Amino acid sequence: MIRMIGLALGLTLLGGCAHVGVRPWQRDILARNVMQPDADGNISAYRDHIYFSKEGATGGRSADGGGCGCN
Amino acid sequence: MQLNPRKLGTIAAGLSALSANLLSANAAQAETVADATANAPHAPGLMTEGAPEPGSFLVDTSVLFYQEAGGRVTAVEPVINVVDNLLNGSVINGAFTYDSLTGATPNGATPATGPQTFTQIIKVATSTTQVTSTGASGGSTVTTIPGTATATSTYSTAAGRTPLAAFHDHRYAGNLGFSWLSDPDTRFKVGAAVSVERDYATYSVNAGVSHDLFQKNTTVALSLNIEQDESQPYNGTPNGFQNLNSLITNGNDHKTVANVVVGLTQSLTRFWLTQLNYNYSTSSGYQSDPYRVLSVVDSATGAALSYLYENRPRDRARHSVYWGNKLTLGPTVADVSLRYYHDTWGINSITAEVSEQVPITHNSYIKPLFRYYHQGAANFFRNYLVSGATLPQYASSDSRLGRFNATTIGARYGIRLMEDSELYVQAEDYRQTGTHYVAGAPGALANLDLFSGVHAISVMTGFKVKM
Repeated sequence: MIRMIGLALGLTLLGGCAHVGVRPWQRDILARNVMQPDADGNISAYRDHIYFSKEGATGGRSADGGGCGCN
Repeated sequence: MQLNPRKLGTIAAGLSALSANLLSANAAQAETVADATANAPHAPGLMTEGAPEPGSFLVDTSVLFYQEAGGRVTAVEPVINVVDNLLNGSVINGAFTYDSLTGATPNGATPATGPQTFTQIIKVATSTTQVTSTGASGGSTVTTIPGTATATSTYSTAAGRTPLAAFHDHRYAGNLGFSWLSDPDTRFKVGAAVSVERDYATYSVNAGVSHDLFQKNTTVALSLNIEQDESQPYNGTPNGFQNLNSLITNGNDHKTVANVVVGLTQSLTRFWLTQLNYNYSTSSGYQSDPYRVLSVVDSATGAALSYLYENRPRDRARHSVYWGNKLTLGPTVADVSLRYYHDTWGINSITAEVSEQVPITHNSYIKPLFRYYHQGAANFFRNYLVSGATLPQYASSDSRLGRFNATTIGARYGIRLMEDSELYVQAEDYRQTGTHYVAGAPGALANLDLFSGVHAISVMTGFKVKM
């Protein structure tokens, strides 16, 4: 039941996406490097590693692995 | 003049950015862009340059300096990361990381009103790699037991201090990835990663697919990662609640992690990109810390009578929902994110982060940031065990499984020294806060600081260049 509700919500959300956004010639700002989700490169990797090794919660942004036996 | 494909790609990207600006429906924003590029008509500003285009090759080299207060962990971590954006839209990326770790980390025991001595049985062949003669814990002494292949290792902690065990380690890590377009709107990716320390190794493979919808305003993505971890402690993996001062007879142990992320990225306006991810992962196998103990304290005085290795469940499932946003606000760019996390060990957590990237000049910026983190305790977290009481099924005193808040305050400065390059430095102050004194703790423990959260300073600096 919960899965069905989740699926219905997901499809509704996706359907709503068809009505928002920009035209192709309006992408100038969205196309900038600073607007990319992965623009921080190595700094993101450092910070993920520090928080992964010092906190109980992890994940959310990506599925990529590469953990450690952190002290 | 010969023009190679990469130069052509750069020119094409420049022309497309120019045409996009000219066609911009928002006159005010077009003025802002025009102002920003007025000082250098041949190149956009550091904050207005386009994302790397097909035909570009990126190299990001950096180093992290990490230092915890109180003589705890010090880390130096150089990284080189390369990304090759091929003309056909495929992307090859690879990174190599080296990590040097030294210092001391809490061994899990409670502080005491007098000095404490920790004695463990270690295998002689590994005795030189476990603990050095220096460290915040006061150093260790290794004594061979005649006629056996074992020795006793002892180290002490001063009265009232959090017991720390000294360590040093090196980590080598690398990853490779490849992604390609199967059609203009669909990208597949595969990758692999390896991380090896003296006493821990992890191997993982990942795969994913993303698909653009509605004139590329929407991207749906699915990523999978499978990881195998090998725990290879110097003296073997102890049984749960095994006495510290006893021989460990188990060898190595392992853990398998499966991770899936379902994501939706949406352009909401010309200035706002939003991302919503759901992440589910399961871990199965050895998940205890093989060096960490709990104090078994006297129920009346609170004095430690013995030390038992911790014991964590072998299964864990994690759920998290992440909501990230990139917002261009005039000449600045804000990054705002929230994450909710829950796992089957009973930890619930909220993370909120905000940063604002502000141009200083055409070729430089500053980016202050703030992060707040809160987690509740795992349902088996214990500061100590009480002598005479029934042992719980699981227990750990690891502060990373306890209840705490953490704040990060930091800033980054970036400057373009030459065309298509950036020199950056980011500094952060990370501080965990929690309950230091536990009301109702037995005897003297009620007046001793039981919180062992960290306070760390990190500096990350690097140089990235696009060719």
